[in-house]
Amino acid sequence: MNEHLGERLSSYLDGELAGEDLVAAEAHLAACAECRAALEGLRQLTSRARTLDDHPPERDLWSDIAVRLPDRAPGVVPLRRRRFAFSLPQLAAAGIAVVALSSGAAVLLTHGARTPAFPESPSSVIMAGPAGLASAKGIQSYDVAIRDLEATLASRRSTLDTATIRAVQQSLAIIDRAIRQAEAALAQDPNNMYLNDHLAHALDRKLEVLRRVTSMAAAS
Amino acid sequence: MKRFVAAVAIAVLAFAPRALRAQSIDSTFAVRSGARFELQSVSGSVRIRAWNRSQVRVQAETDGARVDLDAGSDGISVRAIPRRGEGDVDFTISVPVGTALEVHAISADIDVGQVCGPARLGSISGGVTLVCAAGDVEVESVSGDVSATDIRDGHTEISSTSGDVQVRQVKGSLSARSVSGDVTLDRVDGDDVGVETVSGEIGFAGPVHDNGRYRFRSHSGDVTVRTDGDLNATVSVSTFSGDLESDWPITISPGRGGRMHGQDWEFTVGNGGGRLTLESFSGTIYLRRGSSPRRED
Repeated sequence: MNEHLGERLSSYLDGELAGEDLVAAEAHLAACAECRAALEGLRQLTSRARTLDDHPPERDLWSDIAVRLPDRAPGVVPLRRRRFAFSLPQLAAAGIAVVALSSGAAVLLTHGARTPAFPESPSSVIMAGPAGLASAKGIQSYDVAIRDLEATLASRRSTLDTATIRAVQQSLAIIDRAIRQAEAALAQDPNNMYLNDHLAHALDRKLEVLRRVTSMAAAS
Repeated sequence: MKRFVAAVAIAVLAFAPRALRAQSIDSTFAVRSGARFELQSVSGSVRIRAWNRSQVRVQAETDGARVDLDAGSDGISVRAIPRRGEGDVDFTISVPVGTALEVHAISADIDVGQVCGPARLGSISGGVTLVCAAGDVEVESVSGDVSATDIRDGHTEISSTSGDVQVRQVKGSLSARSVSGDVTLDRVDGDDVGVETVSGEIGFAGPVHDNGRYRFRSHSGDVTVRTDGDLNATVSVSTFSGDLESDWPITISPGRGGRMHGQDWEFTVGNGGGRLTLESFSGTIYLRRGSSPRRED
């Protein structure tokens, strides 16, 4: 069988393939269950992204956020030159969701702690590379999440004891380490579907943990 | 039905010694068939057992927290409300067999036995133990251990962020998750099983049904799947730097070649009817014969 479609899946999904490339991609998809499954996964991811709220900020909060970033000049968007196999729709889908909740919940969990309030790993993904659209959307969602979760922090942080906060921080650190390892592996093998899926799933796990902690704290 | 509300307020003098503020509550309510029981607590403990009466009995020992009891047409709702920093309440609850339960706590341990109905149980830092349920079940904790035993006729979701997850004797679909805890599943008989950890290990023992879907995913932990008798499954194995060990005779051919890292295989055992997906980024994947969920040393 021919080589798997890899990053061309995103182009196919975005309708960017034409001519022989399109014919070849469709022929490969017809014969390759793995690529069909990957394509379906991409479709679902993109579909999920469309369901997320993407509120525009009521005011420009970027200056407030930027000055909170350690070792970065205010107003400078950190573009990290990592190599990702994520396509634009993948970044837009996974990144927006993760940044919106993880950054906000990090504020909730790190209040008064020495852990940086700005999470290094999924937010850096959203700001990485050429995904300009994703970056802009991510920043907007990040603004909103900060606002919402700071308010949440004030009202709910007292419901979490220090041992729980520590346990959550340790768990998030474990997930962040898994994310970094997946990123490093992907840098060596960008077309590896398992690694792409694994990284996306690690981000999803972080999102899920943060969502769960936040919702349980809210329910209590 | 006319709503009946009973508010039990514990009268506490502001500066009364702790011993004086300690109070006991013991209230019993008649309930119709199918009534629900809901409880929200902060700290202390929650123990729920079934009895053969159409009544709910609420017993509580509190050091000063207020306990609100709400008996409505749908069932009984109990809520512990901390007062002046006192939130500990030890609940002992008796409910009819089959009562649907919803219990949430912050740091209280939750122990439910032999109620055998649907259950949603969650404690942020406490442990949760559930024995006997029928219908859909959700059990979760953030930092406590969670366990569920003898679950049937529904979908089971069980998770802990940093604690261990233990599941025994489940008949039905199952989703089990942890981040750093180990996940152990013993005698799980379902056709849709998903298990995930990040750094913990996974141990599974149960049948793999011909039309079933089973997915086990870890980042750095080992994954051990044991099944008795014949195995009929299409097995997908994905790892980056881990290994695969199998008791089953298999013929592996790489799913795709030319990669610098990573191994990705698919192979068929028996008639290939079931779908078994095994993933560990850096851990070892064991596919074993047997009925014990023990993990590999």
